[in-house]
Formats: sequence, C-alpha cells, structure tokens
Amino acid sequence: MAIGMLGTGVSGLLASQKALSTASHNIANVNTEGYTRQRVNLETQTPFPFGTSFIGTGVKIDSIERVYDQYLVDQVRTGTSSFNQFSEYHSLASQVDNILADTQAGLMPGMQSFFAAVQGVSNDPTSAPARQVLISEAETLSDRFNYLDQRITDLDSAANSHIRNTVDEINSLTTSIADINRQIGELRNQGNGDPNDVLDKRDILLNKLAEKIGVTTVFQDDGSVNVFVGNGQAVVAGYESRNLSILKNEYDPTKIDIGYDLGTTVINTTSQLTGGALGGLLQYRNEMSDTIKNSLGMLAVGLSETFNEQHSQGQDLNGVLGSDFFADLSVLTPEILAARSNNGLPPADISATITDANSLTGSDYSFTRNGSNYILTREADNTSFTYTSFPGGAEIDGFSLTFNGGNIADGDKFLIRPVRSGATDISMALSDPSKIAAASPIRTSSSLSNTGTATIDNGSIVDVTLLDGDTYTYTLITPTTYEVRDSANNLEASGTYASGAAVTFNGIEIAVSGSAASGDIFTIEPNVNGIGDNSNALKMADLQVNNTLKNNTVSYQSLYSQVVVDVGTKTRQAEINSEAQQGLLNQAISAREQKSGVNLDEEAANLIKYQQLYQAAAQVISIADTTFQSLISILRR
Amino acid sequence: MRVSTSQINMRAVNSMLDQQSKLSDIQTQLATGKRIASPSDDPIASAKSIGINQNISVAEQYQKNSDVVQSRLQLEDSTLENITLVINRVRELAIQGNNSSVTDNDRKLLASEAQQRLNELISLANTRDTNGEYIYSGFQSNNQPFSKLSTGGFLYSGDDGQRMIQISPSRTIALGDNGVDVFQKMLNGNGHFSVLDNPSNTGSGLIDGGSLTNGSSWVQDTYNITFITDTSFEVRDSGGGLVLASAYTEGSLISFNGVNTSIKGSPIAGDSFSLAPSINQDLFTTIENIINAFQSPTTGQGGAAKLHNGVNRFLNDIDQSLDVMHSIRSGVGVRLNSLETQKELNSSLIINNQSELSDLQDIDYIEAVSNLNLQRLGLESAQKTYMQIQGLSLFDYL
Repeated sequence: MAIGMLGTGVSGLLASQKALSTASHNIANVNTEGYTRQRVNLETQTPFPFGTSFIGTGVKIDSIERVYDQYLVDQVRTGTSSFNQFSEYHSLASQVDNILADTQAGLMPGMQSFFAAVQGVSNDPTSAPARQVLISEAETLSDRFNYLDQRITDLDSAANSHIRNTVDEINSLTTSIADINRQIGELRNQGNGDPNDVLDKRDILLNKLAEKIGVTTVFQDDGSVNVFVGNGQAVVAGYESRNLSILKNEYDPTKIDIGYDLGTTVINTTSQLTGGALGGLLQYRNEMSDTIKNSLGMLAVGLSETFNEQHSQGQDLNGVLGSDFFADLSVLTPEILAARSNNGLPPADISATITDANSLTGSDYSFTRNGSNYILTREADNTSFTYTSFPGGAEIDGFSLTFNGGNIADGDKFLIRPVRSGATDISMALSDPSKIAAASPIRTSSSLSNTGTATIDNGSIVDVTLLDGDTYTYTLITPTTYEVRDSANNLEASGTYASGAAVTFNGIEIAVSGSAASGDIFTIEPNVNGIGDNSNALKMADLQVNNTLKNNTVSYQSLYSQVVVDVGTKTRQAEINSEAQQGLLNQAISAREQKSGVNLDEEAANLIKYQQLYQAAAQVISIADTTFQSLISILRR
Repeated sequence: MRVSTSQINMRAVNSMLDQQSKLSDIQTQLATGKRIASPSDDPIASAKSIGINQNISVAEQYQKNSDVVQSRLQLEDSTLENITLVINRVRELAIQGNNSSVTDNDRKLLASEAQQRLNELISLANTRDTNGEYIYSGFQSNNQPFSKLSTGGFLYSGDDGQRMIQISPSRTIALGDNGVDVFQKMLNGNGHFSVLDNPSNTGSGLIDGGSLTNGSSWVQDTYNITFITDTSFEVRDSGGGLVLASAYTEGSLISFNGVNTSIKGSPIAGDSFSLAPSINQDLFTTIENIINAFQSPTTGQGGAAKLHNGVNRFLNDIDQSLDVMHSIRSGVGVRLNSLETQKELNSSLIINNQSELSDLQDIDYIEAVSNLNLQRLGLESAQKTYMQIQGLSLFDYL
C-alpha cells in the first residue's frame, strides 16, 4: 500500500521532470527558425488489480510529439516558392525599369537632341558647327542605344550566373534532404519513434529548396520524403538525390539552359521549371530581356534604315548624293542560329537581310525543314508560313533569306533573330560634317521669259538610283500640252498639262501649277553648288514625328513608349504579385505559427503547472514517508 | 486564438518595416517633386509623358526655328526698305534731270549720283546674313548673287531656290526670297507692254506709256507706229500688217488691239515708235538705262525728246520695280505676322503640354505632406505598441 504510494509519487516526479524539460526545450527554441513546439502526452500507468477493482499506479509519458499540421507546412512551402519567383523577377525587372526611367540614360532625350540637331542643320545648312553638332548628337544617340543594350546584356549575364549558383544550391539542398531521409529512416528503425527535431530540420531544408525552385513533396511510409520539380522530375527519391545541371542553349551559346541528369543522359527541362528564384530568373529571361532587346533592336534598325534612306536621297556640301548616315544594319544585324542538333552536312549556310524596315515586326522566327517543306514560324504569335522550296529572296515581314550553300537535312532547325542585336550594332557611318546631305540633288527654275504665271514646285526624288545628273526642260508646247526633254533633246515625258499634276521621269517627280502659256519653259537641273538648300534636311527632320515603322503605324517615339509601357506594366505586375504573394506567405506563416509556434506565456504556465505537479508528487513521497515513520514508531514502543 | 511569441514579434517588425518603406516612398516623392520615379509606378502615364516631352521638345524646336526665320526676315525687310529708298532716290533724280532747264553737265552729275546709287543697290542685293550667306542667291548661298558683266548687263549667279523652315507640324515658311523674284522678275513698261522711241527720231514726239484697255483683244506682238507725214501715222504689226492708219492729233488716243497710248509734241515724218509686250528686265538694267540716258547729250529737238522719252520709260519701268518691291515686302510682312501668331500658338502648346506633364508626373504637395504625417503617425504607433507588448510576460511574475 505504502510502496504503491511511493511508486505513484515517483512516477509523478519523473513525468513532471520530462514535461519541465520539454517546456524548457520549447522556451530555448522560441526563436529557432522552423522550430515546431513539442508537447508531452501523459497517460495513466497500468492499474493494479485490487479485489474486484483496480487501483491506480501513477502517471507515465506516452509520447513527446510535434504540434504539427502538414497542410499548414505545405502552404508555407508553396507560398515561399511563389513569393521568391515574383520577388526575383521583380528585382530584375525593376532594374530594367530604372534604366529606362533614367532621364540621362533613357533614349528619348538622346532622340530629341538628335532631331533638334537635324533641325539645326535644316535652319542653317551651310553652317559647319550645326553639321558638327548633328554628327555628335547622332554619335550620342547610337551610344545611348549601345549603352541600354549593354545594360540589358549585363543584367542577362548577372541572371545567368545567378542561375548557375541557384542550380548549385538546389543540388546541395537535395543532397542534404536525401541524407536526412536516411537519418530519419535509421532512427525510426531503432524503434524510437519520430525524431522531432530532425523532422523540423528537413522541413527547413525543404523550405530553403522551395525558395530556389517550385517543388512538390510526397511522404513515404518509411518517413522519407520524395521531392519533385518541374512537371515530375524527381530530385530526391528516398535516400537518393538527382542533380540539375547547366546546359548550353540549343541555338545561342551565350544562353544557358537547365538539364535534368538521368545518369546516362541529360534532358533539357528549362521550359518546365517554375517557382522559386530560378523560376523568376527564367521568367525574366523569357518575358523581359528578350522582348526588350528585340524592341530596342527594332527601333535602332528602324531609325538607321529610314534615316539612311532619306539621307541617300539628298546631296551633301560637295554636291555628292548622300551616303549612309548610320552604319547599314540590313546585313549586319540579322542573326541566324543553327540548332546544335542539326544533321545537314556540310552545315547549311543561311543568311538574312533586312529589306524593308517598315515591315519588321520585332519578333524572332524559327525556321525548320519538314520533309520537302520549309516552315517559317513567327514566334510572337506562332504564325507559320509554309514553303515548298527554300524561300530564297522572298520578303517576309521585312526581311529575306538567302541560301549560301551546305545542306539542310530534314528536321534541321534555325532560329532567326532579325533585329535582336540592332541596338548593339547601331553606329555612325558618317564622320565628315560636309557629307551630311541636307540639300536636294535637283533644283527647278522657271524661265524669266515665261509669259504665263504657272510655277514649278521644288521637285522630289522618287528613285535616287535613276538620277543621271542631266538637265531637263519642261516645255509647254501649247497651253495644254507639255513635254520634258533632256539636254540631248530626248523626250522623257509628255502629256496633257493639268495644273498641279505630278510628272515623273528618271526618278524625279515635279509638278507645275497655275496658268501656263504656250512656250513657257521650266528647268530641272542638278543642284550644283546648292549648299544653302535644306529640302532634304527638312524631310529628315520630319522623320521624328512621321509614322515610319510597323507598316506606318508608329513613330520612333511611340515605339519606344510601347517598350516603356511594356516594361513598366510587367514590373508593376511583378511588384503587385510579389506583394500579394508576400501577404499570402505571411498568412501561411502565421497559420503555421498559430499551430506550431512557441508562446512563452504558455510555456511559463506549463512550467508552473509541472512545477506544481513536481511539488505535489514530492509531497506524496513525504506523506508516504510520514505514514511509514508512524508505523515504525508504534512498533518501537 | 493562439499566437506564438515569435509571431507577435514578426508582426510588429513587419508592420514597422512596411510603414518605413511607405514613408521612404513619400520621402522620395517629396524630395523629387515627382509622383513617378520609374515607369512601373504608372506605366501609362510614363508612356504619355514620353509623348508629351517629345511634343514639348518639338514645339520648342519650332520656336527656335521661328527665331531663325524671324531674324532672317527682319534682315530681308530692312534691306528691302533700303532698296526702296534707293529706288525712290533714283526716281527723284530722274524727275529732276527730266527738266529741260537742267544742263547736260548737271545731268552728268545726276548720272554719277545714280551710278553711286546703282552700286549701293548691287551691294544691297549682295547682302549677307550673320553666317556669311548671301540672302538673295537662292540655294547657292555662297555665290555672290549679282555682278556687272564687262560685256554689259548683270549676271545672277544664284538660282530659284527658296529655303523653307518648319515652324509647326504642318507648316513651313520661306526663310527669304531669291534674287530672281526680288531683282529680276519685274516686267518693264506698264506690265503688259512697253513703248520705245526710235533713237534716230528727229521730231519732238513723246510717247505715253499707255495702258491695256481690253486684255482679251490684246494680241502680244511688237507694233511699230511710224509717221508717214508730220500729221499722219500708221501702226503695223511685226509681220508688216497694217493695224491702224490715222491722222495725228497731238495727245489724242491711239487705240488698237485693246491697247491705248498717245503721242505729244511734233513728230516729224519718218519718226517711229514701237510698242512691244513687256519682258522681265532686272532692276539694275532699268537704273543703268537712266544713267545712260542722262549721259547722252540733248542736242536739238530730237535729243530732248529722246531724254524725255527715256525718262518716261524709266519711270514706267521703275514703278513696276517698286510694285514688285512692295509685294515682296508685304509678303515678308505677312510672313513675320504669321510667324508671330505661330509662335504664340507654339508657346501656348508648350504651356498646355507642360501643365499636362505636371498633372501626370508631379506630386500634390498637400496630399503628400498629409500622407507623410499619416505614415509617421502609423510608424510611431507601431513602435509604441511593440514596446508595450514586449513588456508583457508571465515570467515577470514568476
């Protein structure tokens, strides 16, 4: 009886000691990341039969368990992946955003100064300083293009090295998780139940992995966890882990892809990976970097091609037709990248040339041979064009392809980037200020002996290649018929005179208007020494506001605005998404904390509770002792 | 609801961080005065402001262009004014020398002043602007436009070109006028025809410059009015066809083919006059004609008549030139006026755009300052609550 009481008391003492140390463990780990509070489950000891009933024998510890909800933990993990993806994307996007916002580095101030300089030449075509300013401003503008492109390229290479590091971290984390799986399995095999703190450690590692990449987890009966990325690539299976690796891009050697290592082969899984910092990096590369480079490239190509075209229709201070103002990008810029897996031997040599800057779309294209057909796909909207033979010379969206030799095997693929490097390539071709073609190559005059009041306009150039530098006379044979003859008296054009109607010959277009009299003569001649003429400079200045690109729908400025809106909107979205995901993640963490977090007041109460249990149990032992002493003293008497 | 200790901490810290980040945003806005720091703050407004900035910069460029045009037109206007003064002075000299009481020697003095004036006129026609460009030589602005040929007459080394300058998106304006329009495209006589006395006339017949009475009957041709006797004349066209034969009455109208003229004085049989369609005669030639007229001696009846006819012809020619000067000058005036109007339009466009830009980009200071106070209050209360809640612990009572 007394022994029973002593035993019961001792069981209370032991139980309260364990409970007190668990509470202390909780208190000690109040700030430990990922710690799950632990709880002692007490239960009664097996009772002792006593006659027809049972007598209780005290308390024992059933288990010490984590206060844990797998659903809440999973929520935190998913939230972590999404948040890190958007936050990584946002941090890169906002760098681009800031580059474009910079009034010093942004493109528009450069563009405006450039066209102000064109106007300066137009106002004062003979002024050498005005011409020098135009050359300098054009150089500055090309530099701005180069600078912007370089900044994006720098961000790309930063993103690339970040991708490499992230893949390394992922591999190291998956190795650790596989190790912990093994550790947990071994501990469980020793029959000790779940090792709570090791389980916490694995949850922390899983969370760290989720920061890097989106994962799904499947728990096994043996306590291990299998981890999958992408659309089902296992990176942890039981006690084993599989690595991700860095691959060269199929087309572009400067770009890296991510492979999944199957031991004997490595498969490219780049397009399947989402979530986490890696997902954000890949998203930035696909949605932002490539599009911006294409847009800037298109603007650079559009500006240089359209400006050069107008410049070529003018005449410089030396009386020579305008040469290229900016470097000619039509052959330089388009890139054709053959897939590394192509089989054609010798490898096909294909080149692309920009034929009409106005028709360019800014998209990349893929080109592939399928049987006897050749398929060109515009990647922006996935529109395909199918040809039964190689589409040499045909203009597609402003560029054309040329087959220079080699073989295109069935299934060979090529990536065509017509404008990607435009912003890198743009540069000045002209350095001599006197070579700015501000004047028109022709001028017109009416004879002083004309008796009619008709006047001739300044004339314009419709095809500069047809100009032959001859002097033409436009004569009214009668008041209603005219003819145009060259200096050798060959007839170039003739017809019925209509006031203001355009007459075209040898690449020149003129119009005579007003009341004409028979015998009236107008002369169209080379603009020899016409250094004060600004006709062509005026037309070049017009390019600033004219819709010259995307099939005459946008001006340079509106194309650039589209880039800014595009970047601004994407950055804004990324910011909003990142904030929203932050909110969701905080909620998930709160929910987990509510369940599993340590509350010091609660632990203080537990300490008091178990301290009291300990004191009471000690009292039981003391009473058992007193009872025993009373019995002994009776016997002593 | 159960909360964990670290959750309490985390919440308080998050709230403080959040308030601080908002506070820093408002601080940036207040420091820069801009609502938009980067395009993502408001993508649409950013794109719009790019467009507006371009509008402003283009309009400012148009203002600069207008200034360029204005100074050139003012230069042209002042040269035209001087040219008109010179022409009027030569006109006065011509009238002065037309008086029969003036001796041939005096006329030679007048002629030498006229020669000075002609030189002055040529130098005005060769005016250069501040850049050293000749303003009346068309596109060939480094060529001196007018020079006297040793073989007689004046050479124009420019062309018909006229430089246009953009002063609004849809409007260009001529920076000046070329030498052809200003000095060469001026018809002699009365603008339709001119009359000429035969230098070998011996009578005192003076022919009137005449006028066109009926444009539709006017047949462009050179007509000769020949006195058959002292009292009768006939008019023949260039083919020798008789147009009119009449008795001569001093000062009475001679009308044929839609033109009127008259002859005064006493022509002598064999004297003749011609009437030819007007042709363009440059200003310098016109003035040189009067100089030549003044330099030849006025001996006898024929000599005096030759002088008077010459002066009359000069007056007709020079009045045509003055008309051209006036119309060119009023053209310059109109351009200066419309330039003024366009400048006002452009500057109001700039102001409108700037105010639109300010609406898009600039912060509302009152709103921003009140937001700043609100956020500061928010941060302070977050800090205070944190400190107070931190003080609460059961362990304090153990």
